[in-house]
Amino acid sequence: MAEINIGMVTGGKVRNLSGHERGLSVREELRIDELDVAKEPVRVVIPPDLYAVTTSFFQGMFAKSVKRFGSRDAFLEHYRFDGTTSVLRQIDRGISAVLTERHNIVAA
Amino acid sequence: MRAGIPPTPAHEAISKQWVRVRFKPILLRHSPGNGSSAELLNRKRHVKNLKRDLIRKARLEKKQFSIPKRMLMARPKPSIFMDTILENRTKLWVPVLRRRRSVPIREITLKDFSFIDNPIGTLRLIREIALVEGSEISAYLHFDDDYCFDIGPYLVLSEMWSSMAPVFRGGRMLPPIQKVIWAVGLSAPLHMGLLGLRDLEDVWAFPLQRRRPPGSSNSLTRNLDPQAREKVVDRFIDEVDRWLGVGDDGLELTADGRAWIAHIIGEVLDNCERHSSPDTKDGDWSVAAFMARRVENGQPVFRCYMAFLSVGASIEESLRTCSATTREEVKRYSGRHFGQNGAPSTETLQTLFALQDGVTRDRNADSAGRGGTGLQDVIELVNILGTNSNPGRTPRLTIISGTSCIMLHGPYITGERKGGEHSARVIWCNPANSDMEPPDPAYVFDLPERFGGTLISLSFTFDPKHMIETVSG
Repeated sequence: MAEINIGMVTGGKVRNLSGHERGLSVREELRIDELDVAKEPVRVVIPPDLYAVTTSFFQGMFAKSVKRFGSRDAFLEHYRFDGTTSVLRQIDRGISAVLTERHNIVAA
Repeated sequence: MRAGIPPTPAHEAISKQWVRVRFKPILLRHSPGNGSSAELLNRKRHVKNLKRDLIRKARLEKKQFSIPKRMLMARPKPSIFMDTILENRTKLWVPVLRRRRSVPIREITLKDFSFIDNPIGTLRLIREIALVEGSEISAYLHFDDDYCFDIGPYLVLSEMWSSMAPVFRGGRMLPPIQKVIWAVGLSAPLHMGLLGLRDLEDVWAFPLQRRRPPGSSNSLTRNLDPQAREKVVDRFIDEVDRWLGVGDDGLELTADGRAWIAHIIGEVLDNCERHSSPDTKDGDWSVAAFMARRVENGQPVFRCYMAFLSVGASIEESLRTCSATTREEVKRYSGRHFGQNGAPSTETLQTLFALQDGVTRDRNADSAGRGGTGLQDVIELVNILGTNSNPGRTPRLTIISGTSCIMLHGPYITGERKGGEHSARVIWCNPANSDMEPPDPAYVFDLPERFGGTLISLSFTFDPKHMIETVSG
């Protein structure tokens, strides 16, 4: 199974990750586009001291992947997150943010 | 001003010529006249005493009203806030040597100094400060609130202060406010000597944090490196843990509690960076927060205040770069309500629209179906952190941006998914929470002056027991 470690981004200097642009940069750095089409699942290691991943960061890093897989379950079948329960809940929120319907919030 | 004697400009020296000119009327009133030798001598002595008094008083007056060197060197410095709130500020700014002393000295009283509850009044006071800075030699600034009810205006003052001439020479400030100013680290940026400060009891602060000047990072891996906002978040979390230790229970944040607070601060600061400088996505921000223990109705209450400030483009200005689809929707919304009785300007309607889920100015993000959920996350957290059944202690969040003010106070403090699990969270600030109705004008309105950026000020009552139950449930 392929593996990526988000700890390489924190460098041990911060314990949270935020920012849409940051998420996009990490996606590029870790070549997530290539991992999206990898045949085997990918293990995403989240350091135990990391306590927060904002939805903006997650969307920057994985929105394209969630859209590609089309559903929460399919995405999580391919990307298997290994982190604390709290962080996994935030990953879930991130996925929900990606799946949130956009536009058409104003009646015609 | 003494009768018959013109006032002395502060820069004029007390020379022999000066004394001769000003003493002449006195001398004329005391001509030698007739009388005995003793009377003549007495008159001479009296005139000499009058002359001595004149010089002494003039020296005292000159000392009182002498212009400090720092003030003499003052020039109109650019300030986004002051230049925005005061049109033609550069033209209105009077060179120091042309300023006349006001008698009595001009005084500004800051009362109800809070954007959260008094946005219009507070902005007017900020404007008055800018006006006085450009026209007076000296003035007093009185902070007349009993407590600090919003750290936001003080953040704004700290942004302005370095660009201001040193006009303000002091004023009143009660100890509770002095404590907050000191604890949050604003006394240095505001050049304040806090003479009444004795202790910092009952105040816990997260000191002022500022992002580096925009564009100063030369790192090729700018977005891969740990970010300033992430370091701020870590420090803030540690500080809140310390606040929580305040109660007898010695609590600390749950993992979810940490995540929520980190999420909110991270989202707000990320928004500030990306949107206050739309071209570079490299804007600045400043943030400060504090908690104060106050006794209300005989009960201890922990009041928390946070403020996030970014200078530059307003929310509506930033939204102008949005996609065509978003542009069409925002125009539909603002066009539907603009001009209706009580409805605010197009700018304010569009600012309210920008708060809804999925609305982003980033065209690439929009086309990729990402982004635009951060502000609703902030609103959600504020409700979680500040959940309180007491109506006087419910959370309040006010957004000041450009000429728009949106007060997210009860009953308009919760975003709502109106169409199911994945529908967008919306908050339209009207009883039906509907985009078909205009927003309540008491909560969404135009400001009389323009604010050069965006300020998010929030307050909530921190109940450690309730928060632990809430966030871990």
